[in-house]
Amino acid sequence: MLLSATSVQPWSHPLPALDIASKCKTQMEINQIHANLITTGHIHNPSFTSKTILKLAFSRHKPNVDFARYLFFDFNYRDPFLWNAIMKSFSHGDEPNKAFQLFVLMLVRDILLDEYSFSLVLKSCSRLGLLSRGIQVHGLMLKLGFGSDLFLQNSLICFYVKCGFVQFGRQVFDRIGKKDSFSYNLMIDGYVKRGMVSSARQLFDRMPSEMKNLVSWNTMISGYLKVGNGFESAQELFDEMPQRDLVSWNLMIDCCAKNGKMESARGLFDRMPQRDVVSWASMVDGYAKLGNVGAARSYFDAMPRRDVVSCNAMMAGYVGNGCYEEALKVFHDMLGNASDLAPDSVTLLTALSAATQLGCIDEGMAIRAYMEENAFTTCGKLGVALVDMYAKCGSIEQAMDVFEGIQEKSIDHWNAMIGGLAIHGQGDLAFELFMEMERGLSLEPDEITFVAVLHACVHSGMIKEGMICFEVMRRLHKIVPKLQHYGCMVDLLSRAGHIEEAAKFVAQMPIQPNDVVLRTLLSACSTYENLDVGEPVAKHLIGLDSKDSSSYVLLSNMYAHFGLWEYVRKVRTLMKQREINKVPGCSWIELEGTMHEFFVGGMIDHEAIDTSSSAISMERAGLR
Amino acid sequence: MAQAIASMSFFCTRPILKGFITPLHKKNCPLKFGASNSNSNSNLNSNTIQFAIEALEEMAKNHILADSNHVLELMQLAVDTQSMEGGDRIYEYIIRFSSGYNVTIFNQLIHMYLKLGDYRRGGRIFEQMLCRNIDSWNMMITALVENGEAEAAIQVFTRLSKEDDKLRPDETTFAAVLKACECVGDVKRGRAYFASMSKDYGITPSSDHCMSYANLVRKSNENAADDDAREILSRMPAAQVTQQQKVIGNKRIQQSPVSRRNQAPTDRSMAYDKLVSLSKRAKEAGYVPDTRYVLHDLDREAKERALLYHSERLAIAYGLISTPPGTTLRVIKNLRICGDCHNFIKILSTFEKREFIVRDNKRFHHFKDGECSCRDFW
Repeated sequence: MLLSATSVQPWSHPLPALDIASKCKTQMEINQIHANLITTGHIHNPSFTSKTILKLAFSRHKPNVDFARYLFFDFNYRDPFLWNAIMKSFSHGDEPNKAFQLFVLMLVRDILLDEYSFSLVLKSCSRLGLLSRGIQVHGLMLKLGFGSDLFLQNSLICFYVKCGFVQFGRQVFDRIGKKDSFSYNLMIDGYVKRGMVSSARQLFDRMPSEMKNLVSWNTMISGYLKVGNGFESAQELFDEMPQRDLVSWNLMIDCCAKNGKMESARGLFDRMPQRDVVSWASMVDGYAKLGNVGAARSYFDAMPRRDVVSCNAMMAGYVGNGCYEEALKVFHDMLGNASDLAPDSVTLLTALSAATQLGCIDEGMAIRAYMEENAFTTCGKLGVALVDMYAKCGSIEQAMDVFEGIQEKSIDHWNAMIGGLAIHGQGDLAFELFMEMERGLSLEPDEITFVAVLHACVHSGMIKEGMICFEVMRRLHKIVPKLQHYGCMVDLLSRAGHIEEAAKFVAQMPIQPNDVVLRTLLSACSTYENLDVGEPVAKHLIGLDSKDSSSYVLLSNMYAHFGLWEYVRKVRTLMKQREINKVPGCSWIELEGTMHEFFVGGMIDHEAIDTSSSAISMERAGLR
Repeated sequence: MAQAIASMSFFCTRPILKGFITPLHKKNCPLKFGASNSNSNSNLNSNTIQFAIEALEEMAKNHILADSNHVLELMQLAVDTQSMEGGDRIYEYIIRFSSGYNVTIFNQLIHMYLKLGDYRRGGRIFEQMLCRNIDSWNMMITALVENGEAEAAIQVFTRLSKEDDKLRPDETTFAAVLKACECVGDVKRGRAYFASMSKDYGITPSSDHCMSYANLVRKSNENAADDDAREILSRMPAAQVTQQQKVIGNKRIQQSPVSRRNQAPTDRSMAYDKLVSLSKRAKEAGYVPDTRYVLHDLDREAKERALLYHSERLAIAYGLISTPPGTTLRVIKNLRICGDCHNFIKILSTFEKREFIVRDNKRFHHFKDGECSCRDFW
């Protein structure tokens, strides 16, 4: 008990209680202070309570701030300083909207407004994006004669640029008679955040040299980071900087990394006088994005101290380069006893992605267990990733279990579930979910929804339902079909053996069919042995991309079905001439945490086949 | 019981032993060896092994020794049921009653303990072997790599040539040791081993060898990595060069999305054998190879052989010999499953009593009780 350590009597000086109050952190402790003030009668002493208010209003602990507000509103203070203090506790705290209400109350009670009052209320308006209210405050400011106050003019610039209206901010800026560094920096930052780098640069160049400080230079460099061709400009600025700080170096390294210039990044990294986790993370991320996971790992391993961001960068690099197991190893290291890092949602999303790619359901289940143990919600992207993981790792039941357990499902959750049911051939269930969305949910199906449900129809042979969905998408939801949707329809017709209809559909598509769509049709032609349609499609595909082996293989298969072995040999000879290799069949099975890989074996060697006709050029003889 | 066996020993040997071993493979064999109250398949099979060993021990006391093939079968059963206790009993039996040294049996012992998760025991057996063949060394080196003992794997490889001049490392040996060098980042030895493959042993590096070595070089020296990697890739088999050159162009050198792969030759051999056995049983159950899916101008017999060793079948066969009965197997394939494999796996699910989940490049197929979730539409 805090009070037990101090002998506070009614006749004793109140300062000890005041000192104790500033050390309180919990509601219980504050309650004790409150009780003491009541029993000692100091609650009615405005001089004492005002000191308490100022002491507690800016505390990091909410019970303290709440008590300060309670004392303030319990007494009819007229001191503007106290009003500003409470307003600040709102504008800079967790309830910025109440700062505006307090500002209005000041007007109602005729409390004297000063420049700090206006600054604080503008702060709250900018945090909430309340443009109209801020403009009203601006008008009042001008009426009361605060229009030429530089401090407030800078606050106005900040307010307008934060609300996204840089032109209004620029008007305020241009009217400032004697601008300071802060004025310029605010305006430059506003332009940068809106992507108006050219305007930012113009202002930067106009800025008097003596006013340019580290913030100015760093802000400008960060602007060039955001544009695609800003590397040279950023480099020039960096080289011209009279002095640099850690932020400057980190920004430049990040700029090099994002532009793929890792040699330059490394040079900077080696030269920089001081490094932090951001520096290392930029190197890791940069090398990983270039596909050089070895170098990325080297920097990652060399980090004196890691953080979650760098681990996430390493994991993302591994996943992006197909090193899924390595990504999971980093994740496991984070969870190890030797690590004090706690994975965040980005970490878990990346880990789930790796597990999904590997098809390792055990890993996915372990990640889910971690999520549950650490109160990660499934309402957001993590829930979507979980559903997707279970579906793609072969457990549609668990995917459904996760889906049904999500309280507030977003469209992404529905899409993931429908898509999962689709690839598991549960077309009926997928269609039911889609109909459930149509019947009463507040969610509107999007393009991806229809891709998923059409895929479900494709894999389940639900031709009629697929047709219905396509028309519902177009006519009811006014969604213009994309290439993927048309591709699904071609696939739907093709798989069902309606080759002629599929070919007609392709011919009538308002969008140019791509190789995927054409190959879908070609595959069906091969399956249903329709050489009349398939052969010209195959030739067309070979013309589009002569390096893709599947078109050759499908054409060869069609010839083989008809026993046209001479043409089969010609196709294969052409493949050899063009150095095109068929992708070999490969399968993986996970056993006790280890993936075992198998390639097709025991097949007849292609060389054993009679190739006496290889001398005949396919181009000369034609394919048929 | 012992007296009965002893009295019979004067009349015959193998028929009695064979009679005792054969029931191990029948579905109801535990009942013939005594009732067990446990409902666990693993316990039942473990008890079966225990009973079989006890019977063999009794017979051994009367100078009737088990045939080596039967011991091998028992070891495989221990692996299939993941019975460490059963494996230990088999090991004891071999030590106590072995009439002569058999390198195949000791190789299988190593394999058994590796599959049961005790690679250290496998290592001790390896050290105790009176003589070894290349399979012995390959299994040991591979096991050490897979268990994070890459440096030890290199040491074992080094001992190979020193201890037995007549043994020559093969492709599997080099694949394992290069992987070990990659793990520890030892470029010098990796380079030496890679060079010696063709120079000293006449072995043409496969894509696996080249990839491991290329990755090793890249990890050690970034500046020279790409050039060295391209030079290494130029030595790859022609069939792989084009594909890998595309990868190097994108600054990615990956063996496969899955970096950990079991290369134990015995396992692979057993998978192939298992697949042949499965094919026979499938035919008995009504499977007829659909040779339409072999698009080569061959006779029917050749087409059937071509169908037999598709990758998904091999993966399933390997899964069957590596997991307890009833375990659901999940296989991922990079291409679309062919119609004949689809039919084969459906029939397989009827007599193996397992669920097979195959994910190809289009969708999932759940095979169970002779049916597939795609309803033959994919």
